[in-house]
Amino acid sequence: MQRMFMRRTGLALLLMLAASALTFALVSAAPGNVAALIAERAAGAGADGEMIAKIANDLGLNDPLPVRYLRWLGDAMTGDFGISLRTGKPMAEEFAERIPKTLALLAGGGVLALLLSLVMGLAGAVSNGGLVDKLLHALALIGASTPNFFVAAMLVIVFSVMLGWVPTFGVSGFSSWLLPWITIALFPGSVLARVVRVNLQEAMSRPFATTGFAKGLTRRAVLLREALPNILIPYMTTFGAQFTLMMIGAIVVERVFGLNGIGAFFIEAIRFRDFIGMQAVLMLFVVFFVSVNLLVDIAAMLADPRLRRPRRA
Amino acid sequence: MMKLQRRSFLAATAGLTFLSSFPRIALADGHDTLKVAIAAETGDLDLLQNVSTLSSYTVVFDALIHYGAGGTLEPGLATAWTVAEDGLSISFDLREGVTFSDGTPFDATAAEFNLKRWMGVADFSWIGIADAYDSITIDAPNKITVKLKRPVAAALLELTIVRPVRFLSPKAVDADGKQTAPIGTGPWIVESYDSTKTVLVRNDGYWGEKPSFSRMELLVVPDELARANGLRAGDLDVIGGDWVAPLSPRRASALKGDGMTVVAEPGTATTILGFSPKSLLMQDKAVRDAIFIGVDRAAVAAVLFEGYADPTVNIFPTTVPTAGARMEVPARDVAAAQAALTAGGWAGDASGWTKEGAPLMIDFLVSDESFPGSRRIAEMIQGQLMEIGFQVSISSVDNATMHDRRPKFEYDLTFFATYGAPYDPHGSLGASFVTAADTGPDGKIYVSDALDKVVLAALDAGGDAREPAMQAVYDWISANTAACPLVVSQRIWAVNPRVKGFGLPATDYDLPFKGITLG
Amino acid sequence: MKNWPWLILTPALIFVLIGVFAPLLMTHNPSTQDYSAVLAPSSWSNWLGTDYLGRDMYSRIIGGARTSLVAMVFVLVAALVIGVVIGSFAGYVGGRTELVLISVIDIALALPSLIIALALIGVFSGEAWSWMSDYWKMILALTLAWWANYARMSRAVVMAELQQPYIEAARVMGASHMWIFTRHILPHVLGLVVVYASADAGALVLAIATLSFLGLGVAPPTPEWGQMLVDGMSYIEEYPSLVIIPGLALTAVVISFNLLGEAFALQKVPRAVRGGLLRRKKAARAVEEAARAQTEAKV
Repeated sequence: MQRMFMRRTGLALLLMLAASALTFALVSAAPGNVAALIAERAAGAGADGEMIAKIANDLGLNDPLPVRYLRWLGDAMTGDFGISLRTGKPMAEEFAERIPKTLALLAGGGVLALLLSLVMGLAGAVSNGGLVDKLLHALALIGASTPNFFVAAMLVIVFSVMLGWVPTFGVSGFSSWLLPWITIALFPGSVLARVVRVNLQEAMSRPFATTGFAKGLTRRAVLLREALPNILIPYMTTFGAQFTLMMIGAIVVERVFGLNGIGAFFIEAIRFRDFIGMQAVLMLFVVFFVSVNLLVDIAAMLADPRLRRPRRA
Repeated sequence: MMKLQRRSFLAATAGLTFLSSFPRIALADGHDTLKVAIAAETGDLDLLQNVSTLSSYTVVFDALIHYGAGGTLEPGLATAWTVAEDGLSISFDLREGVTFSDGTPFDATAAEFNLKRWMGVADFSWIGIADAYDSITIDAPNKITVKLKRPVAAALLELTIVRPVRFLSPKAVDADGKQTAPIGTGPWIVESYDSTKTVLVRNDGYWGEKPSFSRMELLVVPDELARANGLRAGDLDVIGGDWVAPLSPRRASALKGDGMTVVAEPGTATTILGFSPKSLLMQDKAVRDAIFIGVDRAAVAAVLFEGYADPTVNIFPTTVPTAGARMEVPARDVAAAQAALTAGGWAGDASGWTKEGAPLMIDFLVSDESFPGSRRIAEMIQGQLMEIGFQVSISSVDNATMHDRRPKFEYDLTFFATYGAPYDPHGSLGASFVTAADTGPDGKIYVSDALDKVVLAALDAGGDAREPAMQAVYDWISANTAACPLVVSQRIWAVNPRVKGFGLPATDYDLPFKGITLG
Repeated sequence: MKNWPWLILTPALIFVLIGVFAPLLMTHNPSTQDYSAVLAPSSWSNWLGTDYLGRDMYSRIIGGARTSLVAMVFVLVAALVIGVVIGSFAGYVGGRTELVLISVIDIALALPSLIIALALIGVFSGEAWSWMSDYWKMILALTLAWWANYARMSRAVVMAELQQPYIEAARVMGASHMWIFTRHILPHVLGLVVVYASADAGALVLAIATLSFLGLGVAPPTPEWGQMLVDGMSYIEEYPSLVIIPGLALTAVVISFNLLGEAFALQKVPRAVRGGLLRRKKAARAVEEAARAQTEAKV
């Protein structure tokens, strides 16, 4: 078990390395001279070719790709992710300022998605084919099919403008998080609701369920006590996948609601060709994804002893 | 039983917390604070860097001369000035009794210190007087003279711009001369700033007219809809300004309908359709003429700008000094456009044109990120040109790609905007129409050797020779259809009704707080 | 309930038909601008009203269906082919080739599809690529971002099937690799991949719309729902229909494909349950893989 864990972690690290090389190549292949943009930022109308060339030289932008990558890698190893070409602040500072906001968004969204999925999935299973079940199925379907920017726009219009209930931008207290949380949790919550519902269905057809009924337990009791624990593995797997998806959803959500988290920073970095910023954030994404997947795998292994034995290909 | 109680208790608490978050708590000190939206954070307001919106500088830092409506020069930190006959020196009488917000007095020494930070410095050679700088002499504690190597016609106007020409307290720099804090002589003092807002407090020691309210908050709201919603909800008092937090005409109309006060005035910057001087297709004057008469400026102004723009064929509007004689805006004429093409040797009709085997196909470079709303204008023009028989393909790119392709002239058609007051007309002319001027990522509206001669002559002309020389430039551009001006968009701001006395400042780089009283 | 498969199929089928017969269903040319009838409400001539340039909304929605459909079909088919070929090859051949291919697949999967697509579109915006229209750039970018999941699934199925005794038997009887693969293994691969693809279609349509929302989709005047939604945002306060109509169209299409995917997936489970324990475990794992991969790729 220990060896499997080490092997998994080792592979994960290798993956991060390879992904970082790929992203570096992709980012550098895009047109757009970041030195020109920096020059424009520094001197406005005064930016000229000479200044641009000087900036390019100072930043080592003219060196060949592998050299630049290795230089970046060396810095990254020591924890130095460079200075954002767009904002001029060290990436460490940008991260310190922005990661908490994105984390708050993801945490709240995650909790909401969890609650939503459990409530919907369980209620549907209790109803078992009844009207409530069908209704919740439809709701989950809609929730999993609506584009998040559409959801965000509609929520803002209805709640903020028409009803004047919550602040419409920035971060000003608990209430300003509600709409972003709802927007980001709708899709994962709906997908997970279906996972809960479908897996409960499957679990209820298993022998232990019929045994439970034979013992005289109500449907509800069997669901909660016997079936629910059995959906843990597929639920965790899907939750992990959805959680990483939420990070991507954060890009759109942060933009619409004016939250300056990592997602918003990433989009601006792409636009500005701030490849230092992009690279740092992409590494963060990769670390995030790989870690979540790793955690889910480990949790699954802990939950189900059968998964601890190495799978023979 | 216990389990059930705990669960319902938790549910109740969660529910209450959830519900209690709905009503918004009114800020206790909100009454005397003006909340202005800005699209991006102000940063540290370093005078020598271009970190953020120019308007944030103007509330903290003063210039020697301030730009008044229509280009009139008003006394700022200089109460009077004299330009020598030969134009090689300018003397300034400095305003007395002025102190920086950290207590340092503003005098000739402080002025000299500031001017030397950018005059004669290579990075700022795009400013005429910086490039021509020779020396500064202190004549008296409140008098200085700037000596130049050659006369600079637009020198005084250049002293009204935002940065780097404004004045910083000499104590607010470190040993390397880098700015340490934004200490100026202006009506506002920076109390704090971060990536979400900048808080300013009134400078009670200000030499000029003090604002009627004591605090101003510049709140960062990057999304336009969020700004409009914020205004309606009362979280913002003022939104708008092309260089502050742009407000689209559509949004303005909607806000007006919701009872917000919308203030719009003629703009100072022109939206121009530029022909690539390096494109084979665009070198054909017949094509340029066809486009010139084939676009529907009136429709663009009416439909996309909802009337908040004025069609034009002049490079500069009348709100800019020496803008030249007004030329009449022709109505769109498809037949005339087609006639122009035929006269130029093109064969075809509304379904397509060819000349010597080559089709009439245009690559229209557009970046909605660089110029919000331009994609829609391009769409409109594409439709109009296609009616004539042009084939138009729109390349919709992001800001970085635009800044890459434009200076390389990798397009047939693209959008430009003149700089607006106080940089025009010398700013735009000197940068966008002269081959030698290196504008880095901004590109050129049109360049040619012949045009270079006319423009450079106009920029050097002084006194009475100025106007006719400028007119010669405008005439050349018009006669050769070197560019296709479209509209002058109006400056649009929207304010909450509690804000009284709102008026637009002279330039788009000033924040409009003057004369406001909060209800 | 024998009819229900066809009921589930209908919405998705309608979308496909609309896309295919779009030109016949339009009432106007979707690109014709009419400045005298800007932002008009629905009427007999304009069934869903007009947009900010006076273009007929109904015709643009129909046109958008075609745009999305064509893009979706191209991306899915291309990603499927590339993915199945690479994944099957990796699973079948094994050894060092497999190791190399898995690494490539895993790296491609380490980054979310949307990010890859965004980065690729950025790369394609250079002058060297200007001969390609924005539409095809988007299709190419999405294809390159989408194939990896199919590859991983194909490999998993191939590996599972290779364990089967009948494969061994076929080899002994002298069947060629190609024969075994196409006759015995490929059907299983395609079976699973089609399940996944049917729901993936919805995710793809959403991805296309999201790219347009972020400003990197098709160029005008091609109608596209995501682009229409973004353009309509400016008018959301007084003319919300400009946003609601394309938003609803998008949601409806994605729902129909999700329904399809769900139906396929659910169909698989009962059949497996009926079979033996080993088949059931394998099928359940495959469905789990599909579900995980499906949600993972909705990026």
